[in-house]
Amino acid sequence: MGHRVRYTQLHVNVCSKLNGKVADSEQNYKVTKNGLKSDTKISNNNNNKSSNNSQLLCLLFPDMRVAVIGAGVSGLSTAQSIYEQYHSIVSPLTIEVYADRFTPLTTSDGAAGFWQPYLYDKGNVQETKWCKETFDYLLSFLSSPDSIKMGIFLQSGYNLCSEPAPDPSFKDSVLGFRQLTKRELELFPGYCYGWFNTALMVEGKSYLPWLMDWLQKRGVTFYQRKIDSFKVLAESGADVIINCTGVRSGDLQPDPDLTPGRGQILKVDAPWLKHWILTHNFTAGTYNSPYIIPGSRSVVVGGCFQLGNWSEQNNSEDHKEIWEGACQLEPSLKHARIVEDWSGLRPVRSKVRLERETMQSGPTTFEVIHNYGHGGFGLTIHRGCAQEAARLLGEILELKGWGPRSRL
Amino acid sequence: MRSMTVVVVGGGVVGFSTAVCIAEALPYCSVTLIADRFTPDTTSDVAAGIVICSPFPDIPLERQQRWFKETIDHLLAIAQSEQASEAGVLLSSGWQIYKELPADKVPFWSSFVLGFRIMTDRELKRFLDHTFGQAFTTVKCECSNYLPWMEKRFRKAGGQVVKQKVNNLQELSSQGYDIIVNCSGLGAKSLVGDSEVYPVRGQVLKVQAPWLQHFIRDGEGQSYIYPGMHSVTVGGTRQVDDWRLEVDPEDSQDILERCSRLEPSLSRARVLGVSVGLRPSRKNVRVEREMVLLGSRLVPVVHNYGHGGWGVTLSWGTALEALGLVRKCLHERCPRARL
Repeated sequence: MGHRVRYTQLHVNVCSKLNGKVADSEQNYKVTKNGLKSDTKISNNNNNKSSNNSQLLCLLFPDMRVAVIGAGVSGLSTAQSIYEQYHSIVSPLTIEVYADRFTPLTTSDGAAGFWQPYLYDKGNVQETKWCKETFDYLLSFLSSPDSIKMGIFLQSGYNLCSEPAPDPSFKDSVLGFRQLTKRELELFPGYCYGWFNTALMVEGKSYLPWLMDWLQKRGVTFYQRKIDSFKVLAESGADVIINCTGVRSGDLQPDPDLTPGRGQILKVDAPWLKHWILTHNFTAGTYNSPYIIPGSRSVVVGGCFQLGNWSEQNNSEDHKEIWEGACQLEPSLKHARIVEDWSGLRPVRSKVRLERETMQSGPTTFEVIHNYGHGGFGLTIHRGCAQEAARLLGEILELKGWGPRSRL
Repeated sequence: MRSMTVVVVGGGVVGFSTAVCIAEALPYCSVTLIADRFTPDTTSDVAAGIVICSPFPDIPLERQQRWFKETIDHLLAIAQSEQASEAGVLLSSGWQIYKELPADKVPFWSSFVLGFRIMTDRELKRFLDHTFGQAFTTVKCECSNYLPWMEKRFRKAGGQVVKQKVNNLQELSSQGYDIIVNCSGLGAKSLVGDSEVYPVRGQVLKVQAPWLQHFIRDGEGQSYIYPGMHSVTVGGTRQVDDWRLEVDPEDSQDILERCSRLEPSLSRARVLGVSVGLRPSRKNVRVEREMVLLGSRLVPVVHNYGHGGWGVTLSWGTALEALGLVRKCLHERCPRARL
């Protein structure tokens, strides 16, 4: 394999999560030709060099360099999950984040920060599971003193349809999900069906700085530059590359399934609005229908979803259409002050690409973990995907014989 | 024949609601509103303005339900209109939570608010001391906006506003008013000598916590968090017969402690201000008419006061009932007159 492995003679507490079990134990390891085996016998016999099998090492953890490309919510949260799961097993563990754009200039920053997957997962049950995992994870922070800095808070609201529709995929993930009553529907002329529930907000403009701070405190380093190829990072010594390059993943590796879903939003001053309102038009498609999402600082009004449109410039016709749609939905907006427009490109894909890939770099191979293509639900699904990406890293460690064996 | 003159005493939410009802419904009456205090110095200005209430013990439930329904429907219509922000009226969803199962699991107004239901266990998990709760959407009516907006509406309907302290009804009778409408709140104690009126002191803090989107009310009504347009009202106190209008710093501390237990993030909120209001309380709100001998004149007086902590909640409904009583007075005075 050509990897340099450093031997350290240390007693460490091992926290093994490779099989989902958390074991806190002090273990000594014996090195064998095939990797590591635990050994209950403790010996400090350095003089015995005759056989590899009896050479006892207290710990065998090669240093590992992980390079994350992308500093949106996917990149940062994957770096976090990797740190959480491996920093006590792999020592030293170096995590570096490379990106051309950092907060507040990423796609995650412009998004409203509203947790809600698309209404239907079209069979992508794994994605529904990751979204739910993210919801529960964010919910657990609500009572913590960090919740405000993280940009996490609860908000309730309305999903409106112009015709009866099956219950959405997320009905069991959110709080207090129910059908809308007749009187509630009277508030929204033109819509005859829908649901009310309490969901979470996770505002990128707060969450991303919080993540960066969290990572920085733990020794993760950041580099602002555009990475032109995976090889370039591998050659500079990265053992594993995490690809969280979102809508521009195609620059690193062509992906015909990835396409931008351009969105434009208006940021509006309307502090009397305390509910999100999302309308759904099954002919126009996801997000191509008005939505209003109040945040902690302003109200985000959308929406549009233009597949294949790479423009990040604000468009005045889109502005007009969005504004008119929103005012029809919520007449009180007529007197709201429009602060600014913002356009972003959702990294749209038929399903999230979350998988390992072994790549060649001359005579050696390196590992890439892809975690991109989250469309309009990146914030919604980020934690579930980050945890899965970290799990894939664990697979890599096992395969390479790094880290403790799974039978621990 | 000359038009009838009506005077409404009181510049709070009940006074202005009643004055607007009368002025808009009876264009041939000349309506004057008289008060010594106007927004932002009324009791209504201190109130958070959340539409919720407890029942009065001796008034038929249907009547209270009618008041509640008429008020919330009136406010809902404003909330859904272009006027919402100017009028200070907004939809507000949230939870009313109880440490122990209440006698009344479903309040008398449950079908008038939106989406009323019992909270799920998962929702209750956040509130460690509480075992039961109700979730619903109601309206918040911020009087610092609503009162000026109502005044505009009143003037548009031909109403006149006079700033003047009224010491007794006699003064109004001498000024020649045909009908007196008494919306003087706590002032009714002296204005009409009603010893059943008493203050229930309430202190509230306004804090900056723009991430809070839901109201939380402890079922007892002692502790509540009501997010508004520009701040979150956090309260409160219920001190019976306490006339103090000054802020009590111990109350502030106590309120913040109690409410932070309900909503931990409040400990991160900046306090913007503290205020005190005296709820114009009475065992039962008084909405009725009587003929009062003032000097040599027998003057019809319509009373609409004693709403306690439910002034905003019952404002439009009781105003409409007061309007009905004014109509009755006018009919009796001039059965043939156009009204």
